[in-house]
Amino acid sequence: MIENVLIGQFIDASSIFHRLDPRSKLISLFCIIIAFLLIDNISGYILASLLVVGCITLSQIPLRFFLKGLKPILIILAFTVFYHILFTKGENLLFQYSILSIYKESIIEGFSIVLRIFLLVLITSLLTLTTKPLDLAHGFEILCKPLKRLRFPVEQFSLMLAITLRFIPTIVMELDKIIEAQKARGVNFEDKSFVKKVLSYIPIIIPLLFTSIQRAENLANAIDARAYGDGSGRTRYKVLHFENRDYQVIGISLLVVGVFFLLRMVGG
Amino acid sequence: MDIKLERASYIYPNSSINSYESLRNINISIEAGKWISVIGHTGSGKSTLMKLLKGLIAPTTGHLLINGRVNELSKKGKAQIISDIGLVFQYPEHQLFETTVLKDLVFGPKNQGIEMKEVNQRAKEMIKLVGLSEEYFQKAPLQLSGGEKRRVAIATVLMMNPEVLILDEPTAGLDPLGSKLILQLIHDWYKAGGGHRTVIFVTHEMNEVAEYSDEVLVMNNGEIAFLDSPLSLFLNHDYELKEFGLDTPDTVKLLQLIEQRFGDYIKVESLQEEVVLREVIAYFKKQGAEV
Repeated sequence: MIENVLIGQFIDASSIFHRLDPRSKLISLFCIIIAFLLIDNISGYILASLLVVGCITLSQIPLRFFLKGLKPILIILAFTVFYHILFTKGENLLFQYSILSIYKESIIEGFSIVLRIFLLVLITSLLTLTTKPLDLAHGFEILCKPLKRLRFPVEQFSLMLAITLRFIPTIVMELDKIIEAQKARGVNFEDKSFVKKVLSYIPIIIPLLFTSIQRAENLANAIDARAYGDGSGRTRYKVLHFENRDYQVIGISLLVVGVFFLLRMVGG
Repeated sequence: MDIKLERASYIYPNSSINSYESLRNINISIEAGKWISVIGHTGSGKSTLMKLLKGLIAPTTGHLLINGRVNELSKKGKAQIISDIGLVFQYPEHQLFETTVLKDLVFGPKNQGIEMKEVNQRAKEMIKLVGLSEEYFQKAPLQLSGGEKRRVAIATVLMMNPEVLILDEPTAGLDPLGSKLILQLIHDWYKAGGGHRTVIFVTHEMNEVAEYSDEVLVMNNGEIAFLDSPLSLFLNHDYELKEFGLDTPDTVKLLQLIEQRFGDYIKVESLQEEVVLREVIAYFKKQGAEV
């Protein structure tokens, strides 16, 4: 089970992405997401795919880690395709049977949305795979600092984020343990009927919820015991610095947004 | 039931996470009716070995033999849970999930498809065996104390009427009295089988090992380092055990202390507290001390 979870799974390597400041990575990711949302034609999709493939290659992280992250969203993607094929209306009718009618545009629409989600997930996993969750939360915190004026609890929020990311693998491991223990008590997970399958997960969900809540309570106490929120502002062991490469990457990202904007305008 | 592992090894599929817990070249034969303690430092592969014996995971290479026959599915690399072997995991109380103790107790046997009349009868016996009363049947597991929860959790496994009981650190995190009660109940269950029940007991508590076991299995870095009687292991291999970061029972320390101080080696038949103390007292009486 653990191998299917991508979020919060940092893979160590020495690529350019690993060395970047988390802030520049966040800004760039934001730019790239905007750029990808601007795509509305085939050349845009080709360019975006090339960009993603290039980034994945540069990251020095084996492709299988990216693919594993896509597995859990496959059902959603499949559903999206079918939804569009069945319900989107177009001009070129391809097939009709009683109330069911399928248009050429709807097929294109369905697959292009899936491709877009695919690319977005891949580029986002690039961020989580190359950045330690704590660094990410730190970068996020600094970027959101201006919100503090509006009384938004930036620091608390960033700690919350860091803890959430950090505990996903732990909870998945716990889940594995509970599944094994309940198997030893004779639970059969290979039952065919859907209702039975869902019911067979109750012995897993309840212990998992219980241990997670207990863990959360302990963690809250431990954080309190280490004087969190006692004084004015926390200092940092690790201080972030922008370097030349960070400015370059942000520049490139802005350029990418420009290119995709132009592509949309030109419409070719 | 005899269990045997032949040239078995196990490597975790996602080796990046658990690689230190993998097993290499395990050859072991466990005869029915024995109490076997398993010791070894954290990460030496004890828990993995226990899962292998229960059939929760299949050996990567080698075979698991039950009563001399190869567990067929384990040959094909697929796990096959062996229902006659009960496995109590670490912190088993975390696996309780029903609204009442009774429902949790009958959960396993119901999965095995056993008649309700028989299951209820077993529940009554088991709650008594673990030192609780039938009043506990309608309580919610979460209302119980830590030690009570642990005892109920062990009872849920005993409810499935196993011939072999594997326990992975069943006393971890309990107070001395709680630990003693757990050990006592396991021993009662073991004795009630009249020599047919087997206990495989993972522990870090060497006094427990000396007190109950027929044989001790020492794991080190995913391999079996020793399989010996407690007497021979602790007296002849205490140096190696120290190398592995393992302790010796108090009785052994006492015997060694006397040997150092008085130069006499007291011969004992076992390392059980009662036996050793009797011999030590006899020794001092012979020396003319008033005991």
